[in-house]
Amino acid sequence: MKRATSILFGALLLASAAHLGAAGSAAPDLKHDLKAADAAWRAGNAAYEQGRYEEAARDYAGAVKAGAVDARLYYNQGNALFRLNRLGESILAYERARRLAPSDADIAFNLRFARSRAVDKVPETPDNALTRTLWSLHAGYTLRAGTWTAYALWVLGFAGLAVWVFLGAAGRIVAGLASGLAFAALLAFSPSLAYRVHQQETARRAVVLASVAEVYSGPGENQELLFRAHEGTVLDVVETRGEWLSVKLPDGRGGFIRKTGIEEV
Amino acid sequence: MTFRTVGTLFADFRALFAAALLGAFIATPRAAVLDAQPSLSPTQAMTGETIQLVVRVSADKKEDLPWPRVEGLGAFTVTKSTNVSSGSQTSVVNGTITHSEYFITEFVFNLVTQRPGDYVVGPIRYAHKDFQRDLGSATVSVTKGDAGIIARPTLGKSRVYVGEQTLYTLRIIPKEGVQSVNWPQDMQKYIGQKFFFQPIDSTMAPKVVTLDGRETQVLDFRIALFPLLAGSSTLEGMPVEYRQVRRAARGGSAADMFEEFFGGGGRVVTQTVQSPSLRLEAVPLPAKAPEDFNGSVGKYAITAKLDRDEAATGDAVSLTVTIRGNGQPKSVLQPKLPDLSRFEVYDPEKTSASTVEGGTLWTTHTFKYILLPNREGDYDLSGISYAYFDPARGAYARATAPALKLRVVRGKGGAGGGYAAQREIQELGSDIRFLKTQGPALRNDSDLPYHHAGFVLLLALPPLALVGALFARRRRDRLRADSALLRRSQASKKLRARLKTARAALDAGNPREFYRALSEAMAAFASDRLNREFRGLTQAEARAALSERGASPATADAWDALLQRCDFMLFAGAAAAPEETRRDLEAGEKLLASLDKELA
Repeated sequence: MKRATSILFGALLLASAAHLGAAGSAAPDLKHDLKAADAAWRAGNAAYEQGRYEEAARDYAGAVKAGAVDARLYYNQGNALFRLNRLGESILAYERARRLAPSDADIAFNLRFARSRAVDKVPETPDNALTRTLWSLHAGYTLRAGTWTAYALWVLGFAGLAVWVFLGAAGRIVAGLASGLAFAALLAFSPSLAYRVHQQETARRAVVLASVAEVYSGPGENQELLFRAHEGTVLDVVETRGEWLSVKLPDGRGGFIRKTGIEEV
Repeated sequence: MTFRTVGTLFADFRALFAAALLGAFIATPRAAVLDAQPSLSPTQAMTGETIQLVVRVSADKKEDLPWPRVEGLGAFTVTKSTNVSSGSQTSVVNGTITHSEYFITEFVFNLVTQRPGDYVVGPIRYAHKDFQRDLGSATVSVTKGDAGIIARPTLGKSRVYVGEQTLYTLRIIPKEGVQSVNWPQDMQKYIGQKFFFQPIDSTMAPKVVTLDGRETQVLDFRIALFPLLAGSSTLEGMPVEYRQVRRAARGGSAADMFEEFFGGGGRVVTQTVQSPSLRLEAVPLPAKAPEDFNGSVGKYAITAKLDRDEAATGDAVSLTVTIRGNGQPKSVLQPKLPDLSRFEVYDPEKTSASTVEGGTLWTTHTFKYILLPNREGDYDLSGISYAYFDPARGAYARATAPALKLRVVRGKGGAGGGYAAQREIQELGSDIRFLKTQGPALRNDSDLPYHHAGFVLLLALPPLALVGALFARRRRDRLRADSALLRRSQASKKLRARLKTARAALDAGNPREFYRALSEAMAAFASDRLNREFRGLTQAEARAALSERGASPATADAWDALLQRCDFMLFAGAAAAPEETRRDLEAGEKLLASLDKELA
């Protein structure tokens, strides 16, 4: 019995480690050539620092195409596009960077700066000290780090219980306390992580890249024209209907917009 | 038609003009220009007397109208001006009331000549859009007459340095009957762009001076002049206008006689006298001017004072610097200050005031600085100075204020107590933040752990480990409660250890020790598995015990036979061949394996 249990655990560990290890390492196909992406990123940085923004934007696009999904890459790409007065594309890049690193102050600043240059001034949701604090806690970690933190708390909680099973009365208090704290922390952390995962996997945002995009009351140009969104305006995507997207603005206004002229984050 | 005729026929010009205007309205109600009428007065004048030609043009709407063309003005000095007025007219024609508005523009020509003679003014023509009219001409008789005033200009110094002050005095000596004297309003026009000037006398007060041994009443008009450019310049003569009462000469006109009788003793005429021009030479300043020289030329003095001798850090201290001089007022900029790096210095408040002393314009410039001392200490604020050019010495000079002392003690507030209050950082621009270039190589952050099945397996491990721990705990508790079970469960492990000892003895070439270990292993194993001591049992009892607990008869026989052989080899002193000994080991191992299964 004991031997069988050990074998089972060993097999599970090996399988998990092998699977995650394979996922973490660079895949051999060209779509995920992270080494080439890194080289392109560094070349783009050099070009930017010398004021060759067109070349920098090309290099950053190449890095994205090579499979890199990194907040620093999107942030720098946003900077280069902003310098080229491609406002909509720069806001799109900043939004992508913010999605990966929501608590990064530089990304938030540049996104706000770029959006201040857009024609449409869409009022942001008002906040206060409490909401700002909660938001900074909620957005202050990357999803990768959050996932592993939750896993570590999960392991710690069960390890404490396992030790609790074996130890005497004195040791049980320590083990039980450690386990209880770990599970309590996990319980407190889980809603934030769950919401973040939900946002990551389901929430859709789009940025207007055309100079003007018209928003109708339904999916068709025969519908009532509700308003016009200009380059750089960020929209929440509710659903897709053929060539049309149902979108909403933070202030509650919404409608249908053609896919052409906008791009999802 | 001459103006003399016009003047006779249209003595009450306004009434006739209104009649003409009404007629013109009726005749040409839609025309832009309705009518144009000239007048000239006087037609007999003396040299220097102003003759006024007025052309009145009426129009149905207000607009800038062109000037009339007047010929024959070559002998006159002409100044022009315009006046615009408006009026309205109501008329009833066949019971219909109409109301209209009109605008009158007066084009005024002021004519002055110094040469006697008869002059024809005209022909005068007026043309605008569809309106074109020849307004005729007039003859003016100008006779020589004595000027009512004498205008005599003088310069304090006719050779000065650029920027140096010189006094221009225009002395007016009026004659009998002069009622008033007027200066030209546009002084800059006559003084020119080469000079900066400032009038010294705001009003003309008559004073009595001795001229040619006689006390004479004069009017002086003084201007402080500062040449701006080097070289020789001409100060043009200025026209001085005056009004004088003139008595009619014998044989004068009836109108003059009438005015003399009813007008209080004579006719009042307005005449203009041109003062003579003057020349002035401006000498350029020498080279190698001090760095802080601003162009001040004259005599200068500088003073400075602090509003206190002692202050705390952060307190405002007022430094007042006064520069007084007779150079061009606008040339005085800020003085040179000593090292004030330990102070926060605000831009000064500047005030200026001019006074006239001894016929010279003096200007006092006051600069009030606010100093905020940053650090405590004793400060020597000497070296406040002002650079200027002294024309008397023909060299650059520097006026220096006496030294000032200020003691600064530590203030009560502020970080460190030694610095002034902090201010907000002034934002000069805004831009996006710079690139991110640090950190590890780029990653694919969209590849998150929970996207992989392996992560689910990892999640399952901790609960499984807990279940395993629970099973292990349960087993441990059972073993602790049942010593027979504990002994039985450990029998196989102990057997392996004992067989290992036997094998070691065999390998060491020690058959006696080998058979002793093998015998011990067999007896101990049976004791452990059956929880009964086999030492001391007879062979029959041992066989019976094994059979009773499940061992087959063959196994029991083999166990008995091998045990007997071990005893024989130990106690009989027989020597066994190595092959034989190894066979015994293998037989023992096989036997114990069979027994382990059968007794389980």
